Amino acid sequence: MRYYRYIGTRVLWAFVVAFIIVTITFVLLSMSPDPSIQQAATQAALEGGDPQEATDRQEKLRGLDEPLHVRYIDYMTGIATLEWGWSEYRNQPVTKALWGSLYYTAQYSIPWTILTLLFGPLIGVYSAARMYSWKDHVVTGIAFLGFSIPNFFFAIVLLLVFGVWLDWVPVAYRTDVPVVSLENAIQLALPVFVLVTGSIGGILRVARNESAEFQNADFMKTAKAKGVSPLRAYAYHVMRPTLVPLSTTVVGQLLAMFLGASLLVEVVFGIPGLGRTTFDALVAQDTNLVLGSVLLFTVIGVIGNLIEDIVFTIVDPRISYDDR
Amino acid sequence: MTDDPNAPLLEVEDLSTSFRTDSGRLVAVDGIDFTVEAGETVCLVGESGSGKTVASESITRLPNSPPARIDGSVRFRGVDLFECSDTDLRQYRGNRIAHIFQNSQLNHCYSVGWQIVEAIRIHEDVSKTAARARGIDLLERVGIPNASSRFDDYPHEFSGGQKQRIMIAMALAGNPDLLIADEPTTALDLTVQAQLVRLLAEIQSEFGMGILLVTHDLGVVAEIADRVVVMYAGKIMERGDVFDIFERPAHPYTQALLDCLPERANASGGIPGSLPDPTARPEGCRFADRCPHTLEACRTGGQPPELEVESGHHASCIYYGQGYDVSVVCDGQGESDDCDGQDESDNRDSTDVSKDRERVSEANKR
Repeated sequence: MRYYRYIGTRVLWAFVVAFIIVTITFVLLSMSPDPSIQQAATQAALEGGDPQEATDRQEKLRGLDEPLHVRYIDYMTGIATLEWGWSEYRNQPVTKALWGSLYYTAQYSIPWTILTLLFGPLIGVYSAARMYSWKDHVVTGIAFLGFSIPNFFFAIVLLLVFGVWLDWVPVAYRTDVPVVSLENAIQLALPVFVLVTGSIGGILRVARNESAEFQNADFMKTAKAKGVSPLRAYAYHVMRPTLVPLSTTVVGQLLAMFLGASLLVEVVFGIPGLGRTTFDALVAQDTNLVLGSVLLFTVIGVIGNLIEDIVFTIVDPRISYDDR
Repeated sequence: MTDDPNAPLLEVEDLSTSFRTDSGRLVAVDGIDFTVEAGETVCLVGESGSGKTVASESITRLPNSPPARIDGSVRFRGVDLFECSDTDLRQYRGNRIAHIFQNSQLNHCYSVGWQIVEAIRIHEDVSKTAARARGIDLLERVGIPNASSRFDDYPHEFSGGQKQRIMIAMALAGNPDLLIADEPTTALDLTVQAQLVRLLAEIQSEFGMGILLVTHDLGVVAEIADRVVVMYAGKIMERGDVFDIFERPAHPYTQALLDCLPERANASGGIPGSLPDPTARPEGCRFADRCPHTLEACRTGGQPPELEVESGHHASCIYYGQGYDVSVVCDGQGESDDCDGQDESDNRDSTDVSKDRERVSEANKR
């Protein structure tokens, strides 16, 4: 029962955090000049009109002449009701533009996350079990390579080798192929591979080092004395405690990749996903779309941390959820 | 794989365990023999670092190899466990031969019930509900209050003594013929120690298993041992019936060990010196450097063979061989000159063991 109350509080906190972030965004936004007003003023001046009058008109049009608290309430209701405004650059509602990009981002993000979460801990624990053997060294080497090589550079090299020289994959991303099709799988193989190698390294190292500690723990001797097979001992007795410290790093690692590296990878591969949309919106000074992207990333970040908090208490029963 | 019910329960022969380390090969156990019969309690006694724990764990080949190297033979009911494959050996571990360790070593991520059920279901094809019911019975048997409601609690929610009880319950899951208990009470306070020793004795009479108890606590030895094997630096120094060992300790090491007991009249407060380097064992008797009676001959050759002190009582000390004056080692005890004398020993200092037993039972009452 206490446990459900803990989850309830955590969910509530997630809303509070999201609320605070949205408010900060609003404050920053209200303090910065609106490009459309400057544009209107410049336009008026060029056409021989009164820049001040044009500014006022534009402000009125956008509701900026209202007092701050009215604008704040408007802004918050807009966010809550998913009316995130009109994207000038995309010429469509912001939500629709974001939804369209999320569709492409999800196509590589979901396989990438699953593969990382599946193989990171597995290879890490395997590597610890064979510590200092040549297999361990190979795994460690690949992990460091993937971790240290810049994703966009790796992506370009792979594209050059497999796309241009070998001609196994298309160089340009095609949006007209069906989601579940061999063509789509082939064109997503490289971006997924690049992202997995980039994110798996850190997770693999943490899994390896943590499980190296647990494979020599006292309870492993107990397990062995009980007659537990080595495979079962690793799958249950080592993997579970390893997941505790791992769960704290995984979410941060994946989110960092999601926000940063995926943009570069999207640009290199020409995928019209979230990162690409955000980037274009920034360049085009499309305030509404930028704001929408920030909100979306906020939501994803908050949900990720919420999952981390919950997973943490499930895998380690010693973590108390009283008074929190 | 089929074992012979008439063969001795456990026969350990020439057991050696060494570890590969950076500073050379560390020989923890150096060719020891002993037996455990069904229903009997054998205590493996010695100071820390004498190799008794490694010896007890080597029986079921628990030390990881490498770095460990385990040689010799261990026959359980006539089956040589060292000839078994890993898969076959797992049929014995936790099923026929159970271990309890110092500091209950439970996995902190799983409930105690889960871990007991795991122990049951590895060896027996029973349903989860049946295993759970058996597990609760076992917890009740070892004295965990409200066993059924505490079954799903995690190890950190139990006290140290309770955790050790849970370890005993888990050891009983396979209804073992042999229980190897390695310092099961060392980390606990005196009252809990006494309760656990009593629990072990009760369980033994109930299940009729053989117990190999590894300990450095002579009070515990006095309480439940039938026979005692004294180890020092990987070798066996002395072995015999518990009364013989406590009343007429033959080897200078055993004498020194008993003199460490604070209840003894001539309590020494410790043995001067320290264990020889386990990577480079000295010539001759392992105890020679710390022994008050060392002769020139003690420092040559290997460890002396185990010589008969009296029937069923042997000591690895040259004084018990031909041409040496036995009274030298026995005088150290301030006792009769003739150590082999059976006639007078019975009514002599026989209060020692009973004193120790009294001490433990007093602790029980407290």
